Amino acid sequence: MTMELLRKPKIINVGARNFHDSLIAQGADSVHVDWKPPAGGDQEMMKLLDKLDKL
Amino acid sequence: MAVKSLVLKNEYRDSIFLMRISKKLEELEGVQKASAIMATDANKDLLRDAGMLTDEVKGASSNDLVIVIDAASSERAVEAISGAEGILAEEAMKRVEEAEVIYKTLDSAIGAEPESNLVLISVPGEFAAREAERALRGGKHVMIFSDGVSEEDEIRLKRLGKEKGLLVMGPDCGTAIINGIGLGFANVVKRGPVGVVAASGTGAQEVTSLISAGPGISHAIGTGGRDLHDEVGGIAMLMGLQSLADDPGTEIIVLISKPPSPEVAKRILKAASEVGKPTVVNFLGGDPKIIEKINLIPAVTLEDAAAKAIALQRGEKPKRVTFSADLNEVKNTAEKEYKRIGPNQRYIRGIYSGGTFCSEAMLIVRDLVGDVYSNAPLKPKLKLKDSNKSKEHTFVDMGEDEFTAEIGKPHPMIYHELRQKRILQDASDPETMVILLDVVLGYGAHEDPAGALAPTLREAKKIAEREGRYLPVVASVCGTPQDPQNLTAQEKKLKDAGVVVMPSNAQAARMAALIATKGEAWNKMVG
Repeated sequence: MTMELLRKPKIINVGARNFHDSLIAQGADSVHVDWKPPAGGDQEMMKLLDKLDKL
Repeated sequence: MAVKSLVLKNEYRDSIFLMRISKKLEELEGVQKASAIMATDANKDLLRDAGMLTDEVKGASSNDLVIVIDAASSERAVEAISGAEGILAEEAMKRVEEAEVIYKTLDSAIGAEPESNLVLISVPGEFAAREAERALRGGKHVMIFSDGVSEEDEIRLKRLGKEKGLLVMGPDCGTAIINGIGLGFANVVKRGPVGVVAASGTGAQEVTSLISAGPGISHAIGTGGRDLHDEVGGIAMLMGLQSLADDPGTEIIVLISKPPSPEVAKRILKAASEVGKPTVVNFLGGDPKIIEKINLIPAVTLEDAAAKAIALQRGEKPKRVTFSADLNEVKNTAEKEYKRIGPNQRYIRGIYSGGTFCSEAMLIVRDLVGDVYSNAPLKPKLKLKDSNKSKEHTFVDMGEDEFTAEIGKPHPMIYHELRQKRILQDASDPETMVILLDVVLGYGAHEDPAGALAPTLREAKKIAEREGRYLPVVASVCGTPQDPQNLTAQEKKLKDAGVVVMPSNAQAARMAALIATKGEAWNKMVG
């Protein structure tokens, strides 16, 4: 279940850049997502986009 | 006084990064206040309250990054604004130079990085569940650092994860260590055979740091504070426990949490007793008898949990630690402090950055000095009416939302200004007898917390001295010599400022109680 994770975590960091930088400093495998609020943070629009995604 | 602003359309930066910019700008000459924030409605309200809401910022949207400077003169404000532009440009340049691949969305990252197995999420709470669900649907384990996720979402995500065999650590999971890699707020620990599952981030930090001086840590899996609520049912703790049971590198297990609901406690303890590896359980403030009954090892404090895990690994009989230094030395240190206290100084003031440290210290101290008031009290009747004012023995958890919601004032493990103010406030109170603190090191924490606090602590002692009092300060530093801040160097900075530095939060609380009772608590503690 989690064996592969515990053997070698390979991380996708979404949010605080600082956490990605710390992971890189530790020699970890990490990529960063330059996250922005989807649909400009408009919750209604976000729901609509999510629905479209599922189609 | 002049207020100037700059609006950067459709620019998003995370709050920790923005706080660092704000802080750098506030250090510039002539700058009273600087705010680099996203122009959300809530942030605009805060700017209005601070008298910093310019017309330009009023018109900005939540998608825009704004920089607002309140400076002594218009020239200074303009200088600071261009300083901010410089910092942002420099950061963008660094990314280009490093030729780093940066993804725009989680979906694109999952698509391009099929080997990835864990998504670390620290976006604002209202968006975190959405990203976590995408990660789980993409087949990835998840750590949600963000708080502000509803319990309903937590249950839904954890059930989805369980169905897919994926671990959901959090929401509000501050700390994890996976095969030596620290995620979120984590210390640099020695690799070894002890595995930890913890519902508290600072709890995990204290236990892993202390065990690092002994046999070392295999993994520390976080669950988030609500995992052991009835409604969530301990899904993450049970999965974490199973992971450590299956992990050949883990020989001893430590479980850390506040007391769970009886139903969840039963389920967890039963699962733990079936693992077949020695397991130490610390349900902070809970009843140790139910743990003992099924042949697991109860621990009363975080340090006690670490000490018992270390003893088990060495094949020794676990014993309780009250003070780890020579007892005469401890007694002398306390005496030196309390001999100088005046008759009107009566109360301990605990000023904490870690919520679990605050709770643990209250549990220890209440048996020795009596009731402790708090913004996060052990009993409802001990809740402070005004969290900003101490009453009798008061321990405040400055990581609570009420303190961190102010603009540009993130967690006290990163930013010390609010704690510094509180220290000086309590130092001015003639009834304050001892100030008690935690200092947390590791990745994610402030780069030099002792260096930031030491001048304030010196000032606090001077304030008391000017009014004819002596003010003892007791602290413990949670961390390791391998941390970027270096435990030994941090402890020295505090000692040089006249602080009594103890090797654990539990021992610091006992030392404070010893000073506050002028030694009377000794027999109760040591017997």
